[in-house]
Amino acid sequence: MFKHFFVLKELLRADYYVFKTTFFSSFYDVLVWASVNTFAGGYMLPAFGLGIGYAGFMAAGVCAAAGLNMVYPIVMKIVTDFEGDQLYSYYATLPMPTSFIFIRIFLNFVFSALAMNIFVLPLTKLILWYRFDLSNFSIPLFLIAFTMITIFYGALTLWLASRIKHMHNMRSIWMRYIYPMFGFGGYYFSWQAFYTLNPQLAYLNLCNPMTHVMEIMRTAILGQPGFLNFWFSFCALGIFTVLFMWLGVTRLKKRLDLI
Amino acid sequence: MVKHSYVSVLQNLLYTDYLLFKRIFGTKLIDLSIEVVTVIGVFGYLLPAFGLDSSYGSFMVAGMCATAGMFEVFPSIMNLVADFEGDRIISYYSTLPIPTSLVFIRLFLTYSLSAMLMALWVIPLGKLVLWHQFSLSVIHVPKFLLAVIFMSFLYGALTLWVASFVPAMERISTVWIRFIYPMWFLGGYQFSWYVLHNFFPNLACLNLLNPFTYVMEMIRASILGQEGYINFWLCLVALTLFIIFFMWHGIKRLKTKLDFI
Repeated sequence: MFKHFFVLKELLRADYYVFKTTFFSSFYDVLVWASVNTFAGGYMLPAFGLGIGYAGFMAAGVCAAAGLNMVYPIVMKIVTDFEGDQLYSYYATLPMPTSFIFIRIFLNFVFSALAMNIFVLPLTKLILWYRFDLSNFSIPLFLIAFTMITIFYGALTLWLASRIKHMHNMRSIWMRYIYPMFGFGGYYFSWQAFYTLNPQLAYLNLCNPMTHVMEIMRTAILGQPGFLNFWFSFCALGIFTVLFMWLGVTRLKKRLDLI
Repeated sequence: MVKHSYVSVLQNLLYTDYLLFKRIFGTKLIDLSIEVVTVIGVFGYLLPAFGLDSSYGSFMVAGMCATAGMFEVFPSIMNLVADFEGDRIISYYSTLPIPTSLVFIRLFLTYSLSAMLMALWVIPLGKLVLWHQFSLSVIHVPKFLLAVIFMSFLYGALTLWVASFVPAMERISTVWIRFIYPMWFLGGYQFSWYVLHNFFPNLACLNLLNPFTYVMEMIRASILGQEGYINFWLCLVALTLFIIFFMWHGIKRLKTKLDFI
């Protein structure tokens, strides 16, 4: 058992060296994406009647969504490998359980995303300055939310990779599943605000993991009032993470014919 | 006579593309419809309840119409780059009895037509989702059709131009995030040029160098009326210049990259 973890550790070390060489390039991409979204959400949308307070609300949404932005390229890389070089088949020959191949992808994603997206919050503050009120900001809750969200995105990456049969299906999966999940998941509005508009749909939206991603991050940054209970969203995200991990790993093992 | 044979080859190549496109057209429409319904649903029904201007739904229908063709740009670049790195089917076309530029003009026309069909689909869909909130009577049909044609040409030319810059498949997301996404988002997907000008006049002037600004403004001027947007004809002239530049530079770079004569 110890030997298995040693192999996993060495593989993660190899990933770390690769990550180090691409860190600045990927980090720059994250900064560009976050800046564009913060600027549009923080300055432009309030000009259409949403009020200045909306800037902070959007900034917290950007912090929550930053990791999702990294999912697409990683899934693309995984699916390209399945269809092309099939590097994964080499890893399947290593002395470790085959599920570790996917756990390694998951951990690699989580560590990379944690290292890069932690800078999104200070960046959004710099862009919005006084428009983004951090007086209710809780560092411990933020760290818990940030880690939990990143872990969830890691599990989502595996699940998505297991769902995409060919490269040309990728866009369909993104537009049919991820975009609606993201759009109705509260990137632009809170769950409670949705509830006042349509309680039935709001309850249905609790089955959408992105709702909890947005709510947990906004609670940590903007304070508890007006959002779903932090620990409730935390538990819901935990359940979604376990579900996506289990489904993702099981389906990938079946698809790639790994024992 | 020679020119006639060029046209005939081009016509047959375009027909092949049409047959391929027909197979995936339904899937593309479903994907686009889901995206459009999500965006318009959120901006047309949910956000107005929290204070957003009630006409913003129509504004977003126009924005989505201008964006629908843009969704075709990324997969098209991806297919082109994958071909350059893999099968290089494009090399076969260079053996056909046509000038090599026509190989790229054929791609440009295929991408443009695909973008055009997608953009046209957004209007009836937007009407269905927003119903009373979105009036079709204010659409200036000739201007709208002209705008859609020029917008589609821009996306076709942009595809070739960007593909000429992508060094390898693994850099494609970087090209998207660093160039296309900011150009699109800051080009007025969620706001008009005049709104940007009210807040940041310098940035708005700089944004006049962004082709997406003209795409958004031109489509909105034709769908929602001229008031509050950059003059339609000015946008048309600016877009024409961008199309000519992207085509000329893109084809030149692709010919060098692929070692075509």
